[in-house]
Amino acid sequence: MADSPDPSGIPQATVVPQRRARISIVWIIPILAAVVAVGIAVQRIMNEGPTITIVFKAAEGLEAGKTFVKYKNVNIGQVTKVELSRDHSRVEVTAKMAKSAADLMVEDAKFWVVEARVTLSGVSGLGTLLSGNFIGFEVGKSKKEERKFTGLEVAPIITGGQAGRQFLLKAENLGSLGIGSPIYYRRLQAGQVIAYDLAGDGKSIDLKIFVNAPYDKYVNPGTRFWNASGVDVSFGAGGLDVRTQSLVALIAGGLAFDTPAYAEAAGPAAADTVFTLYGDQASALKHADTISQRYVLYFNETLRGLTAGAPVLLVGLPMGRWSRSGSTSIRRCRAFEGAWRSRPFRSASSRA
Amino acid sequence: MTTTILTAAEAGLVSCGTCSLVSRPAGGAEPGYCPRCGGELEQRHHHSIQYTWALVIAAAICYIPANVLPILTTNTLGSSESDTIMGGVVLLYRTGSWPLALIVLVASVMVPLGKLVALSYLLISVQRGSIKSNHERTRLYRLVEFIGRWSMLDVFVATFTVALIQLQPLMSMEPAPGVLFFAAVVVLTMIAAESFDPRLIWDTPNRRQGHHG
Repeated sequence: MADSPDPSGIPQATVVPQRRARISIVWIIPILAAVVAVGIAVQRIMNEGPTITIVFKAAEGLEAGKTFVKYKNVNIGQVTKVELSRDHSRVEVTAKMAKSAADLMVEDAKFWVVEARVTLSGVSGLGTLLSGNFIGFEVGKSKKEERKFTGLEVAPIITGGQAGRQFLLKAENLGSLGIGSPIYYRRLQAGQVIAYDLAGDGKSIDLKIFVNAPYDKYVNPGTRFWNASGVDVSFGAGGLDVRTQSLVALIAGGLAFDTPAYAEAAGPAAADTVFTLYGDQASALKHADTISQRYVLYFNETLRGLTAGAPVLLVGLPMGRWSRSGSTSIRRCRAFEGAWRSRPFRSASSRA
Repeated sequence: MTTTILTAAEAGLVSCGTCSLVSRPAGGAEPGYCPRCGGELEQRHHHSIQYTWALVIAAAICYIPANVLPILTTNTLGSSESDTIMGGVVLLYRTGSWPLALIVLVASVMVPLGKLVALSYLLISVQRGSIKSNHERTRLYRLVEFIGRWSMLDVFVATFTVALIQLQPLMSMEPAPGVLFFAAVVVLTMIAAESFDPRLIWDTPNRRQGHHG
């Protein structure tokens, strides 16, 4: 047996408290939360579309966070801010667009406020009564990107996708026509007036019309357009003839077109062809006189009821038109007296 | 005297988490089971501080999307609108019902934030071995534990509204992602409060060394 050493001289072993699992599995929770939160943030940033500014004259019914920008009735953006411009004369609307709509924000894109509109020719934007106004959008053709736009005051009528052609009409006056006035072809609505403006010289009205696709091929260079507003009443041998295009046209005004038989041969007219707008169907479809001569007639009797445009009849057939009544009766043309009788409405008095 | 109380742990004893019976731990690494109720005895919760920290941090992360993301999407005829918690508070305040706005603000914004701050403070003070204001800190802990059950209110309201307001096609409501994060904040802070061992508050610094973790 070896002699045991003095135990007091031997150092005592120390007990180091066991360090249990340094990093607990519980840290997965915050890491997971962070990953999800960062993921959502990244996704949001990636989906961030452009922010655009639209300037309007008034912010009718536009509200930040509630008003959407819609294209083909699909939300493509949301208004985030509505504020006055720096000089307080206009309203600047800031909208955040969806990323998918980023490439639609080009120079000539159009924006306008869509609100419920009740006109004689129809009710539109009824949905806005409940959902509030929204900003309509129409794509442009330009490729140049733009972030600042000027909103239109009136909704443009034609949406880019619609097939058809535009034409230009020259009218003496606007009459009861307006934007959206219907255009009829054989009493079918074939298009509408999309814009009007005073001609450069101030002597006529330029109407821009759009004829929808199936009907636009019936517009050829010889086509005549006339104002179909109101009722056309004429009393002829066949009795009373009342013509009107439709009740809407009767009240709200409208246009009609047709091609007279003698001008039908030509092919469809090119877009933006200029036509004359006639006052009524009769004058529109009238065969342009190839040979015409002017006569001056003198009357002893009163010319009451005789207005410009009154037909000149020869054995009941129209041969000419009364163009102008002047201060007559100074000289008398006895030769015709008695031979021609003047009747109410038809101051038939002519020689062709 | 208040700060130099002899704790059970210092006396080599262990109290039962279920029935509070103080007993002598069984020999070995684990203190064993309670002789009265049979509950598992723990000197201090395992990894209490680490667990609580992890949950508090997770809750803090979720707190941001919970407030930034919308919690409810309202669809009314053709238009839809998303509301965040703060948006709701502002709306309530603007429409004149400021008491309601205050309730929502307190219950949904301040309480979760307060819980996070309170738990962080408790954890830091325990880790630094502070022995000051032990009573106050214990009271704070009790408060955190108490209000935990009330902060699910928002989630409940959102769920009920979504379930009730389904007047297709006139009006309908849908929960938005924010509500998930909000629920996560509430649940995580509740678990964090639960995993925090209040007995740590009363441990003196040297006693606590072995239970970090």
